[in-house]
Amino acid sequence: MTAAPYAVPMEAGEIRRLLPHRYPMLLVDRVTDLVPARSVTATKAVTGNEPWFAGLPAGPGPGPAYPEALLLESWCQAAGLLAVWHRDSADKEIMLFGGVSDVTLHHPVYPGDVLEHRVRVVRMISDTMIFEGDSRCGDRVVVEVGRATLAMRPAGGLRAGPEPDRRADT
Amino acid sequence: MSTLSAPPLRAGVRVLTPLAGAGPERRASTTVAIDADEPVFAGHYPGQPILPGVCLIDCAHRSAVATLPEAGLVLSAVRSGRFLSPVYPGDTLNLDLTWRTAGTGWDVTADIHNGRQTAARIQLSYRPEGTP
Repeated sequence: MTAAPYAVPMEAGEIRRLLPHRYPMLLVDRVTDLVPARSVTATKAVTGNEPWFAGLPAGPGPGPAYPEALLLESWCQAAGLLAVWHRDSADKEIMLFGGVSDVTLHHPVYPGDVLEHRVRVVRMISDTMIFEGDSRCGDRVVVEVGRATLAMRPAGGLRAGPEPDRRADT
Repeated sequence: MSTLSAPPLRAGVRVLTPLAGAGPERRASTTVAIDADEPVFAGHYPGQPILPGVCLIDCAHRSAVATLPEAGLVLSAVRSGRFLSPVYPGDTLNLDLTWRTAGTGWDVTADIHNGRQTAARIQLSYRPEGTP
């Protein structure tokens, strides 16, 4: 049975229903295309009003770029929506970021840029999903992602903190 | 002149062992203290703070920049990042960096320890600014 495309756009309220991430780590704003088990296109507006830009000095030009790590995180959250779009809520399972490879950084990203993430499913095996794709600002590809792996795990399976020191047990 | 991107973490990188070696392979080590008041924790996740894996990539990157074998290099690729164990508020990260020459630039491997086990292995590429 071919899955029909999701009725887009998926807006911020729906994204909050699906993802456990919250400010300042909810880094995807709108889904503009989603084909279940195949692909997703989503956008994130880059603003100087995120905490990482706090305290930076005034000066000419755009100043420091958006953190490369969060550019990748934003893309991964778009991929995550492809994993969970059909869930009732974010409560039952959590996504673990297993790993990433062949991420090429082409251009820095600055406040005022709007990122368009394009994510494609490479493989889905039981609770593990492998994605590839890129992110663009306008016509320019700013980052390419060769492989990213997300794994779904039951909520509560991830400890809320480090394990207690077992050496204290007698 | 290349400049660093805005830092997602307030924690700074402290160099423990400055870059050593004279050949095509060099080593260094750094430490990063992950405090509970890092802004990322409020949203990742509410009531269950865990350091985002991408922040380990960022720690590796800023550790690499603090120990660059030569000037004028910029981050061009994340060749790989493997996330092995979680990192929590209060953890102190120790990063062991191994630099190797790669064409016009350098590749670095960062093994990141969280005080309990290996948290991640990150491989990054640095190239002269303006080159592929």
